[in-house]
Amino acid sequence: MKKVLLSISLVALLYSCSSDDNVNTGIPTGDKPYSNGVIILNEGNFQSSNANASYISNDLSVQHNSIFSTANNSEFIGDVAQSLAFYKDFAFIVVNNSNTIEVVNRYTFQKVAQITQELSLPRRIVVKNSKIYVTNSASKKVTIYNADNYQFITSVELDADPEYIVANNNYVYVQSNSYASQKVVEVISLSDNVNVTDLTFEYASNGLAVDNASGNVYAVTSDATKSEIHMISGLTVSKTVSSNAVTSARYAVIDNNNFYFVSANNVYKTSLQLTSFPETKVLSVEENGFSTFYGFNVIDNKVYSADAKGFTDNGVVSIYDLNGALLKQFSTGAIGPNGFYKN
Amino acid sequence: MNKKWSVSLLFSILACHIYAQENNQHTELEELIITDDKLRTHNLSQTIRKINDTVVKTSNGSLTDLLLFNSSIYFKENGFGMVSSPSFRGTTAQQTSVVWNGLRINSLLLGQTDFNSISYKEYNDISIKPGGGSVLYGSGAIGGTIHLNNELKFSNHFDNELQLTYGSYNTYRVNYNLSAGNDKWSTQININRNQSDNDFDIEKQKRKNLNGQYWNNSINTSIGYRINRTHDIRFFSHIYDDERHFSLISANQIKTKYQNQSARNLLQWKATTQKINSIVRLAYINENYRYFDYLPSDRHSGGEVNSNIIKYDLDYKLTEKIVVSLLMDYQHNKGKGNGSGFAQAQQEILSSGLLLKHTLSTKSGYELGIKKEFTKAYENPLLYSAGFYISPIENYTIKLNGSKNYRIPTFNDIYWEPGGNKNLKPESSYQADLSQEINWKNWQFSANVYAIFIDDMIRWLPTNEGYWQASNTNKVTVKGVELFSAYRLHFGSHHINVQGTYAYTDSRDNETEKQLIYVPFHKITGSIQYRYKNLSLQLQGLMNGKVYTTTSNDENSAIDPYTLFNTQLSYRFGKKNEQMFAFEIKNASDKMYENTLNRPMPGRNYTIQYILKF
Repeated sequence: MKKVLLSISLVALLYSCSSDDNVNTGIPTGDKPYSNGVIILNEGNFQSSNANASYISNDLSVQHNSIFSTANNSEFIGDVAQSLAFYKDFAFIVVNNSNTIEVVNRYTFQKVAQITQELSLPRRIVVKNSKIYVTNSASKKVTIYNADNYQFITSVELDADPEYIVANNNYVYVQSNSYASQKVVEVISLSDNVNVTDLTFEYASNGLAVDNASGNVYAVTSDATKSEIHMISGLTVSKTVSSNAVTSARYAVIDNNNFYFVSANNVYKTSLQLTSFPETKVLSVEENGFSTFYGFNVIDNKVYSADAKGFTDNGVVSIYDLNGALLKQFSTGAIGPNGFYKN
Repeated sequence: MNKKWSVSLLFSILACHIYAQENNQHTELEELIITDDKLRTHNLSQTIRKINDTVVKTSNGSLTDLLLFNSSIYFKENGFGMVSSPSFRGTTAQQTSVVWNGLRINSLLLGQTDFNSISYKEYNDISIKPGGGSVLYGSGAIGGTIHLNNELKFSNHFDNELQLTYGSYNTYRVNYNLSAGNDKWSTQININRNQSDNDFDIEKQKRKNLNGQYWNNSINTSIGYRINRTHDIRFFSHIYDDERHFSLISANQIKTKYQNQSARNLLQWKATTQKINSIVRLAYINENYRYFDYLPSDRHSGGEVNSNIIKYDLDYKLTEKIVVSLLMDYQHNKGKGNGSGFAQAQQEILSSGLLLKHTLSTKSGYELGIKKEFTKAYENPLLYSAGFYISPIENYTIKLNGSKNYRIPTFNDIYWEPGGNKNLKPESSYQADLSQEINWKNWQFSANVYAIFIDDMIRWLPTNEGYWQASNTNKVTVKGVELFSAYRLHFGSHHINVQGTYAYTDSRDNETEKQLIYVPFHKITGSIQYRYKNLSLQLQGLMNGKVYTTTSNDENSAIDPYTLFNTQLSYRFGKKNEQMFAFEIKNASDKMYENTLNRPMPGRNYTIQYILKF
């Protein structure tokens, strides 16, 4: 009997330790509960309309799941929350299979408006000069909206099935998706919304980022034999570095003047000057097939990685420092975490 | 196996068959016969429950709706009328087999039957058999089998029946049945049409169900001809055609629709003598679909499978009490894709089996079966079954059954590019089943206890290469209890019929020890029918327990339990031509519920039905 009691108390002790993790599912307090932290988008199961969002504070001490449904009468975001962009007090959430953009207050996640016009399986979003630019894979178009009144302005035809979109002060850059036959970055001028040129690459498109300071755009292309990182300045490719050792590179992330990407279950880092292709990893996460790095970002020198758990279970987020030390790990309480956005 | 082989096989079967000479004049001729004759003669150690004819006749809606309230099977519907996947005894949709006149008809592309895309009003015998049955019914008979049989009636008759139904959401149904025959001929023709706008209110989202409209047609023909006392020929043909728009999960979603067609033809030649029962079956089955993913454009993908099947059964009475049976089955399947995962693929499957049935006394007996498959498409399993039944006291029967069963990989599992896996093994299962039945006066009671151990479950998992691949992964253990009870009472002109089922299903992944997703621990169904002279009132109820939608059984994303009620009032009249009016209220308590995450189901709705016999 003593043994039983001992083991029960041990279990209780372990349980109470693990509950230090601080997962708050209740309604948070304060005017701007989700400021000073990172928003995690959970896309949900395709055709299940169970997308939701989670929050973790910058110091990793406060974590909330289901923040969208908490703020909106238990409703979900929709079917496959693909990506998110902030503008003023708002967040625009691109919901791929619902064919909508949900506009929410970025600090409370309460619904404000919904954009539906001209959307056709929307993927990624960028806001520039008070305009929203969205890539649409079914219509192969970038659709453009007024970011203040959400009115549709115009659309731009694309040559390839699009995925990522970024903007600098002169152009919008649209990268083809990784399955597209054309491996291109299409450049659209901001002034007149004209598709000016297509920059063609040898390997499949797998990531796009912009350095806001220089206006340079970085594109990752790769296949199972090779990876390349390209620097695009204006309308030309100004530099390319490549590797045969690090293959199938994906994601393009800029944080604190460093460029990051992943390959398999490893994170790599190089300088924005692209002096060389980095072949030494910064850190590794647990391997889990396609679910590995289903979401990835580096924010303020912390690496955010998401494991989608095969989409049969709630996703798990792991946060590391740049030495590879695990700082925090938690379940997002929802399916398929796919992106991290600094709020 | 090459063509020559199959041709010589066919000839040897025919030679055997014709040899069954007309040497006996004593064979009893039954008036009502079903073609899957082994269903009731060779499954004595398992429970088989036939759904009451009246229930089938007055039932409105799909086969899902019929089984939902009359069996322990759980259905996962992608919204009302949409794709409907069963979970029988805690197993997957591919582990429930639908058997049409003795032939397995689960889709060869998907491995399952969609219970909202199949007609059922034309069958005179719809039976449910829980438990394994792969020796007799092949792939997928793991959780259980649903049998759809046409009865042939060999007596002088000429009967017409017309059923007309109209209900909420502009739902129409028309069924016409013709049954005619004499002692030589029997013919049955059925024509069915169902359609619905399916635009029920979704209160939670303050909108109607959008893009959920559907229609389906089917024509069914059964012909039987008795050449003489030894030989008879039967032909069954079934043509089905439907179109379903897929209900939107959110209002601005891109609209899609799905079209399904199937054709099944079965020709059977049976020779019966005192010692021998010899049956040759030739069948041709076609299934094809088209999926329109970007309406209103015509863009679509599709797929098709054609199957040619030769089956031969030979039953030989060794003694009055021992019957041995030889089973041979050759199947050639050819698949074609259009803008889908494979362009063309084909497979040949040959199987042969042996059955032994030994009747020890009027109260007990045992049955044994073994079957081996030969194919290049996947690793070939050896299947077997053994069963024993005994009535130690009057009105009480104990049945014990154990078997090894399997589910073969589907065309998509093997050939889809990318992700199809040519090295897949079939899913296999061992199971044991103990059932007890009491039939006492007006009271019927049965209790089944079972365990199923499933290995090599086929699942599509994400790979490093960015696509999903079919692989043999989990092991699952299912333990469960099924209870069934029925009670009949009549005094004067009052008739009362009470019936209920309860199922407890514990179906866990061996690794995580968590309940499988979309398997409720508890399901209860019940019905009470009260008939007074020509007036009949029926109340049906269903309690479905909580189901999890994540493998870790996260409570937050679990689907809440729900209780549903249907009620039906009917009135029969007409002497020369019997007629009936029925009024039904479904979901009478207007319960908002889902059986699949975020796929709301209709609230309270109404149906009027008129039946005319002439």
